[in-house]
Amino acid sequence: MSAQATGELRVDEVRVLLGGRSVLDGVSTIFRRGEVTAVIGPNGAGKSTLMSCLTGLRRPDSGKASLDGRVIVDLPHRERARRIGVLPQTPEIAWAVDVETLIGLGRIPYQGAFGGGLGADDHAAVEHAMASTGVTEFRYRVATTLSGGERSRALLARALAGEPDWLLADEPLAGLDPGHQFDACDLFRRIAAEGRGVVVTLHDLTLAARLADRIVVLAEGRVAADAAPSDALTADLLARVYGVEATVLSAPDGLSVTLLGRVRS
Amino acid sequence: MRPISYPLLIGGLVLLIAVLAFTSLAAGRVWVPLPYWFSQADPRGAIVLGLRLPRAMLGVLVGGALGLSGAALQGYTRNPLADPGLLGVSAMAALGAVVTLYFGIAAASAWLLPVGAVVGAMGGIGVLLLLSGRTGGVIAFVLAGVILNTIAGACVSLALSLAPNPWASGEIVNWLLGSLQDRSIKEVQWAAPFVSVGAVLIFLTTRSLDALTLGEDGARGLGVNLGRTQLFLALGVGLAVGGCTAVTGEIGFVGLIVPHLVRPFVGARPSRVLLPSALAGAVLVLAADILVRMTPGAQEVKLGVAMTAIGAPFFLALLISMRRRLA
Repeated sequence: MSAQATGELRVDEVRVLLGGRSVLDGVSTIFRRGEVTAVIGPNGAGKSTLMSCLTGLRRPDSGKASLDGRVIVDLPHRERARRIGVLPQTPEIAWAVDVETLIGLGRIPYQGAFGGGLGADDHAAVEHAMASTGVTEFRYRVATTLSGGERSRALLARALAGEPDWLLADEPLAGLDPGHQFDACDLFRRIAAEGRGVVVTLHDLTLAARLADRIVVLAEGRVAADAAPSDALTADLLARVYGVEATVLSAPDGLSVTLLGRVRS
Repeated sequence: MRPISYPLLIGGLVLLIAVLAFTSLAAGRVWVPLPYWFSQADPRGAIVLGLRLPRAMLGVLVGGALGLSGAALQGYTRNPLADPGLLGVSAMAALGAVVTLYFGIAAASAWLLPVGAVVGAMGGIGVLLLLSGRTGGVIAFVLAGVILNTIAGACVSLALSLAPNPWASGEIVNWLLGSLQDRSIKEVQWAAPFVSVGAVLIFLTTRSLDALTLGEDGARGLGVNLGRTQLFLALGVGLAVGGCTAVTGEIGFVGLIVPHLVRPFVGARPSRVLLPSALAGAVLVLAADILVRMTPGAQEVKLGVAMTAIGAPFFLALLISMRRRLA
């Protein structure tokens, strides 16, 4: 982790056009280290596009995404990869490598031009990533034979092995059973507690409410809400953005969102 | 975990290459006792130094280049069926060489033949990488290879049927079949620079090939510049395969077979497969070349033909084992 305590990931007036349609239409928000921020919104709201701007994989058509004041797409590739850990939406594991090797791939931004083996620092980072995600016990298994839950933990460990200041995960809870969803949420909270920034896109509103310090709601490429969960997730907003009727209850252990059905008018 | 360690495997393969290279110097229709090997006076010395030594050197060079190229292509495409021969890169290299022969460009300078082959190979692999980069599908990729093979084959046939004299076309056909026979040290000197530069470029993609285990998005997230990777691979494989093909003709299936033989020992991580594949490719080509020399009959079996005879059934077996994945 780098020493910048005031680390700040932000987007300013970001616009992205895809096939003539504006997928992001002037999005501005700030993500802070030490916080978990959930980006939610209906399908096609621009969540994944926003993530690809934040991870430096896409250059906005106008506006900018920056990390500590520097434009992300213009950062040297390796520096960007060291500072921002990315968990893509549809992660692929192409070869039947063992779990430890898979996680070791997270050290690639630290390797020389011809690759080469892992040094002591690398091994320590890999061990730490495996321990914090609970994959140490199956480190020798072949990654392509893991169950869905094991697989997503291993991939998360891979992202953490690079010791990034930021973890950006697109739909990390999709396909996990409730138990593993809670485990993953706990892990995201712990990562944020270590002083890193966590940005996740989610579909499950209750989980988002319990996991996140702050929720950014995207709708049709614009920010519809950007606030703490209790302020962002209101029945009114859910009706407006998702077109669903919902009751939002404030329980002592967090917000609970119950969806009742489509809004009829 | 692994049957043997990585350094031990590398050491073993190097030793095997040394043994086979020595065997290659000794093997043939003429038996030359060891004391005469380096004799200037004895004509048998010329057989060893003038004919068998270049042949062994080319075996190492060509086998290494094809094995390395196959491993790199399989790593880049995440496709275990990738091979410079199967995907038409070798055929495009042959076309490039034939074009220089046909138009008499090669007569101007001997260097222009390998240059033609390299240009052809780069054109072929450029088309392949562009296709695989965008669509990524195994099927599109293999079909592109089929098309490249067909186009290159048709153009070579056209050149043959228009050849000014039967002797010229006979030469081209003979060369196309792929062989290390009757090559001189000059041919080694032509191929070596291309193969060496190509190999360095391929090894520079090591990190990227590893990162691609996580798919394109995963690799980009790890800071990999995919455009640069694609460029280095196109240049590297083009130089290595083009340089070889210019000298030996088409020798297929080495790049397909070798990575599969290596993976059980080193695991599937692409960077770990590269060097052992190059070494094992050299072993395979040296061994096959010694075998074809031993075949009875007035003419020895062409190496390219022999490799196809070994490789095609291997390819079939591989397809059968992959059936479920492709379906």
